[in-house]
Amino acid sequence: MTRSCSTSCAELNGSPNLPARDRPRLVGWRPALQIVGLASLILTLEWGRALAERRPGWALTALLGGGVALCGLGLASSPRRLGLGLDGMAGRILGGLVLTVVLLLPASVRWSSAPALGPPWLLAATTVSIGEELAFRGRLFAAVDEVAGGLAAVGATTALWTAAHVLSHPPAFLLPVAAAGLFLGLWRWATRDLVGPILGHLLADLAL
Amino acid sequence: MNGARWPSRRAVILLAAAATAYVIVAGLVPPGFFDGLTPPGPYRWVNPPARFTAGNQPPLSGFGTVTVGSDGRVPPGSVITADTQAALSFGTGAFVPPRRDRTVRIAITPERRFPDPGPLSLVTNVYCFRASSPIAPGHTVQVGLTYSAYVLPPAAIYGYGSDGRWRRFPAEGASSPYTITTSTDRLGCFAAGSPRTATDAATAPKGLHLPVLVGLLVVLLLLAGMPPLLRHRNPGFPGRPPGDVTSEIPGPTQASGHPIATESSSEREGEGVDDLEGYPALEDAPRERRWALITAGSRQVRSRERGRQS
Repeated sequence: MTRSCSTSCAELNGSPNLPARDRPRLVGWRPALQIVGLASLILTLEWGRALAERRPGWALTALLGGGVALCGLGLASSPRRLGLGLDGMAGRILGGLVLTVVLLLPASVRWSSAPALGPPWLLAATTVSIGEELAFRGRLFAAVDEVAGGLAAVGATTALWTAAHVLSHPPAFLLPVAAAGLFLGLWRWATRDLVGPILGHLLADLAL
Repeated sequence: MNGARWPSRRAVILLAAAATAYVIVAGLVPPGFFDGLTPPGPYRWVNPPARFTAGNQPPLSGFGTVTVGSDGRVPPGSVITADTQAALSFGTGAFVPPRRDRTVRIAITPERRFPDPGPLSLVTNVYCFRASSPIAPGHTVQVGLTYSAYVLPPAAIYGYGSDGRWRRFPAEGASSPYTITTSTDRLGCFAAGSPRTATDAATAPKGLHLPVLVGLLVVLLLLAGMPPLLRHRNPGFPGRPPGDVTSEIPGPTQASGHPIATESSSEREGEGVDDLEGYPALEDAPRERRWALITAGSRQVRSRERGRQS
């Protein structure tokens, strides 16, 4: 909960010229603690999934289990708060396709085909991509946005998203991961929409 | 502001910059991943193709032993090379129990020399699978081979035995990404590949070239042109530039001292509830309650005015 302040609020927050939604706000210890807890939980799920995937024969179970857990974590919040909704669906879908094009562009230059995966792996990729968006750009973004503003939410989700991939990706891949997280986070901030990032992430994961 | 909205001009510029940065950064790291299913580490080649020579490390072997159980059968298990590029999995009783030491020794080794595969294009090393006991009659074991993310996915696993002739073993579906598996009732040497006519399409990593530039143009055009285009075609799309949202909430100089909301504006519930300077009571309220408070306040004002008029 933000602390009560009236005319001096902008002055206290130090950025009176920024629009209200981007202005940093005074943060109480309870929401900050909730954000830290949420971030820790997401990180634990992602790292746990990555470690479990390394065990022979566990990869599919780990992907599905981790994806479902992230979905559950994200969906424990109202759809509107997450940026989900049916209004303007055409625009949301079109936005998702734009995101897909951008995300696939670097790989499409080099790839003539992607590995053929069976239905269980397609299901796993679907679950993980939706779960990651719900958890990172959905619930975590909303939590940080409410106490610290949209741009802080973009920064926080990008940092945690990158950290979450430390165990599953070689170091050379982390910069593209961070760049993708920043792009998806900015999209979420600029449009207040999560359908586009979910669609873009999902289609790109399935294609890759 | 929970509903979707069109991005402001500043946001579009930021998005375009972020998209460009992503494309450049991901383009520098072949094969251009951002996420997806985890790509395996660099493949370790016995004889690396020219484009994989730099930095190639020799492949590793794998060894394992299985002790016969108290029921007299060899228990299930798996053996995998240290670099996880080849694996052998088997179920209960897959191997004939040895009479002497009650232990089955299994080895997987990368092979430098092998018979000419002829019309086959192999995309993995050739691995030889050996065991101190033969596979029991009526049983099969599963052979799994990982392949590089930089090559075309193989169509099947091919293997040869003591006669040196290559045979095809149909793939049984991926047990994990970039892995191909098959079942066999005889151990031997195996590699993944395809008939030569179907391969050779994998491209080596290249720098930025025309498709990237064209793609960037497409993205920039889409990002810049989508909002005005769709706003023109679908005026009912919710959301406006951030500067417009304050018009939903009248300032504190209203006669009643309460913000006024119209019935029609409640359709855009949630918009503008962050712009609360001058409304300390609303700032204290949870975001989801703010619009309800605003609407309730407007109803009070209206009923008071109606009372005054009557």
